[in-house]
Amino acid sequence: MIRFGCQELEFGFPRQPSILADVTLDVPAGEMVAVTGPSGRGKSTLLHLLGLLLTPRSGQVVADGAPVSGLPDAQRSAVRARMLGFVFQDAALDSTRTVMDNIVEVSIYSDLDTAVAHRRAAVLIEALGVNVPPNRRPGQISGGQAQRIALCRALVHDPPVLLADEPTGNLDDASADGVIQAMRAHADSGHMVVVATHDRRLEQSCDRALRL
Amino acid sequence: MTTSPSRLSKTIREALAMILSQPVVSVLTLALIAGMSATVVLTSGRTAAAERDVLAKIDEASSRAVVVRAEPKAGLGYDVVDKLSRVQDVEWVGAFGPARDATNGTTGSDVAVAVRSLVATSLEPLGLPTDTIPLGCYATTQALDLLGMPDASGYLTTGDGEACAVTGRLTSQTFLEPFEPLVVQPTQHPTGTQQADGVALVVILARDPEHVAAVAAVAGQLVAPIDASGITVDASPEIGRLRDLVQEQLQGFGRSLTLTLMTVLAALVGALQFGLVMIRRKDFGRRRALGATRALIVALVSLSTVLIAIAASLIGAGAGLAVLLFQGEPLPGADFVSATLVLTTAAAALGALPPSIAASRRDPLVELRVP
Repeated sequence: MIRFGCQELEFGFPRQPSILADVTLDVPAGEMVAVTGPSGRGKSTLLHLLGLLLTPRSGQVVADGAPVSGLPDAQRSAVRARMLGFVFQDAALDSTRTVMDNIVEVSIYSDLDTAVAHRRAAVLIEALGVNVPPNRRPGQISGGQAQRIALCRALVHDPPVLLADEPTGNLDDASADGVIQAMRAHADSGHMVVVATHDRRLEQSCDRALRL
Repeated sequence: MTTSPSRLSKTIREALAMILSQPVVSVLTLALIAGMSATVVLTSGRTAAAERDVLAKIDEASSRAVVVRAEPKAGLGYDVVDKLSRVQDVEWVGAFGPARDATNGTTGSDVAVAVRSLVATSLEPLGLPTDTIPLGCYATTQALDLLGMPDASGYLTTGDGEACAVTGRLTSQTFLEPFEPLVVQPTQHPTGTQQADGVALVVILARDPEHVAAVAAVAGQLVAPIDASGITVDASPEIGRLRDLVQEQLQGFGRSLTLTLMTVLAALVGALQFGLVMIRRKDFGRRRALGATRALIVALVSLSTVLIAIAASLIGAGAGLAVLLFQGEPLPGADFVSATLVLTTAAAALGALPPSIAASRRDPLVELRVP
């Protein structure tokens, strides 16, 4: 994939006014875009729309010019599993499974080989400075560590598009730097990154910003 | 991106991991299914084993026997054995001559038993030697007791002065019980006197109880008597009907009991899994958000239940069989146990289907907001 984005996107929950209207975003490969704006303006909603977790009222999400937001559920799931990596606002880890299990979970839904996923996970844990034994459970690690584990999970299948919702919100400066560098490196390696954030440093690391 | 070797193996591994990650619910489900599996073996299995034993007893008794009675002047000869042995579905034929009273010639006791000449297709069912035509008379235990010959030796004297050495014990089969106390004098070639006396009784054993009616009909035609009014054919229809009734009642009871237990099992597994889905709805929401299809969620929940059910049904059936064995009760056959394993697993899978569909329908974003 070399381009990802949305065209004239409008969204509102049923029987409620639109939260987003006429949003167009075109992210070429290698670019990292920040979505900024005050709370409640729809930053997370835009990411959920781009992540095919919500269906727009009008407009469409496009990948390489092809609309993907109107695909049947199974195909949207396949796009999520193979092309998208998502970092949620809270880490959304499975508390009953180990850190390693959480990171490689996406291999169940994609074509990624489990052994390859484990190797990549080990590399990512090292690269992001997550000083946590892989057999720990999310309840035994800090919020900041959990967020970095979530980033590892989003990157483990090397997705063309990374969507991150406030990825540095729970991190100290040093940890945030590691996360920002990892996302920047992902973009620089020819991928697309869209990140919703209030973090000035993260915004400055991006190539441009979409202000809502 | 690397291609996965097998999505199925990934799904099975993940279903196993799900089982291990929720030990309380998994153990509860396992205990529930194992309990039901054991209950089926202890109730329906016990019934099936009892049915098998009762039917075997009935079959052994006389439901396979057709008895042809001929009056002395009916003219039925010993060649009837050869004729009847050629009839399809006939297992054994024995033609008995008329009863002659005989007493213990050694003691002079006046207690008499019936001695009958015998021509049969095989002497094996009566426990007599099969390699040669046995000489002398063979008496049942009941006859030997009456005659005062506990060691089955001595000689008998008939009313017309003939003597016959008692040379062995006759195994009295249930189809011969109506003719007790019985002494037989086996022969291959009936003497002139025996031929003149004719055959008084013919016992025909059908291969299976369901062939009795057909065998009786053919026997009625084949005996071709000179005086047809002197022949009666008794195919033990009451016992056959009793057999059908017992089979119908016990099978019906076993089936309805198993069906009830399986329905209860499916409902309980469904309730348990639905509770699990509600507790872990955030988990399913996360999976959907990360790219799991609805079909995969259904497969994961159903498969984890099926895997538990396979183990649980084996444990439960094994426990049930162990209890039956310990109590000295009859054990159900391998076919029943196999069917129980399959049914239990199928019922559990069926029960898990609605909750797994419910899990697949959770809205990822709504569920991810669950604290």
